[in-house]
Amino acid sequence: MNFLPNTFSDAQLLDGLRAGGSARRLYENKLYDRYAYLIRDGSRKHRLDEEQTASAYADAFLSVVDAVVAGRFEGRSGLKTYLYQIFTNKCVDLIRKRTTNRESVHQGVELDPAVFQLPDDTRSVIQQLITQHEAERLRQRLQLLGAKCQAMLLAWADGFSDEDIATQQQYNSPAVAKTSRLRCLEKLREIYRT
Amino acid sequence: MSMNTDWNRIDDYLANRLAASERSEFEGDLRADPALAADLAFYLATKQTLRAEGQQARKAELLARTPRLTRRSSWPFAIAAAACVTLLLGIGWTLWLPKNTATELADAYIDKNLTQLSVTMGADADSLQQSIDLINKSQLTQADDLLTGLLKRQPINAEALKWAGVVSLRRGQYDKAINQFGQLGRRTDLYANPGLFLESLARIKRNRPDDKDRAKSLLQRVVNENLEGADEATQLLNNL
Repeated sequence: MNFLPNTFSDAQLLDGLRAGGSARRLYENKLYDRYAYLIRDGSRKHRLDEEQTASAYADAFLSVVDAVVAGRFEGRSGLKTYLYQIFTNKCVDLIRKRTTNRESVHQGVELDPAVFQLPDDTRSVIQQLITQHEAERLRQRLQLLGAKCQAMLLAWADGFSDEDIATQQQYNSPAVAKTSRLRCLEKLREIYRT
Repeated sequence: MSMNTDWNRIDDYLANRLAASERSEFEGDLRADPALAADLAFYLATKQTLRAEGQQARKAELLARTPRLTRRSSWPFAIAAAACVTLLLGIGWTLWLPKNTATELADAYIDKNLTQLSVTMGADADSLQQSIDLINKSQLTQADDLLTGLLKRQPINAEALKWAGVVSLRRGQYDKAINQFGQLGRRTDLYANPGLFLESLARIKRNRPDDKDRAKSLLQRVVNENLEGADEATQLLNNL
């Protein structure tokens, strides 16, 4: 089911991703489809089965989207080159894992880039405190929140702005969406502590 | 906001919305106040965990698209030849055969798109992928059990709701399917929502007195708002 014409350039798709809003997923899908042929190429080149390369491609693609949305992709290389490089690294990780049984250097939960803006003398303390939180418990407690709160927090974590959230969830303004989002965060912490 | 933690200040600090003086005041407080450090850590840990959660769900959605895409990229000449044959057959079909009824079109859509689903099974296959695999094997009762359990754990999992509706549709449980697709269609937080289109299919299949009109109005919305299924909706509308 197509919604966007095939004639979109990479630059237009990047603009679509950066603009956020309700169309972001459509632009993502279009971009994902455009370079999905890399799966077959990667599978042949690295002698991996297609399921593994598809998984590596999806991981690489999500990293690219994350970098674009967060403004870390500056466009110094072409989008395809950037995606291809990350995808190749993921494939190499898979080969390394298969041949040496070692864990990937690219896997694991990525730190929020916001951590790096903390002053040097507090960063490691905050990082330690972050690791003390139990991810599984946080996930379980999230399920106890209302559907709207869950959707709002997930959208926030996925990089959507308060403006996007206000549009998606029909709040009167980004400021109202922000207040609601922070209330949801407070609720989550109350539940997390119990 | 009646909360002890000043989440607003933390949020503004991390989003670079504080003035330089407020920013250095915040960093001074962070050094001196362990409670503020704990609040900031909770904020970041939550964001990090939910981001990973969202990415896992998104990855499953993307992987479900993959097999179709990779198949399409191979044998371009064979595909081009097949396309020509299909085109000729299509022209012949249009000229010489009678028009399909909406029910036949709905059946054809279900057979083509909702019987053999794209699934990528890896070592870390999750419940959603297992369910899709069961649907492909027509083990619909087991798929229903798995999806019901998944929805209990993750009531906002839109993919699980969609496939649960597909299972009900394929089992001929049209009331249940309409309810499930209806719930999906009402979601406003999704970027590609096939809920309305799938509900219209279920209504065409159920075929109660008002179902045809309801299906028409749903399909009209799908077309007007260019939602998922817009092309198929146009075709169905021509036959309703």
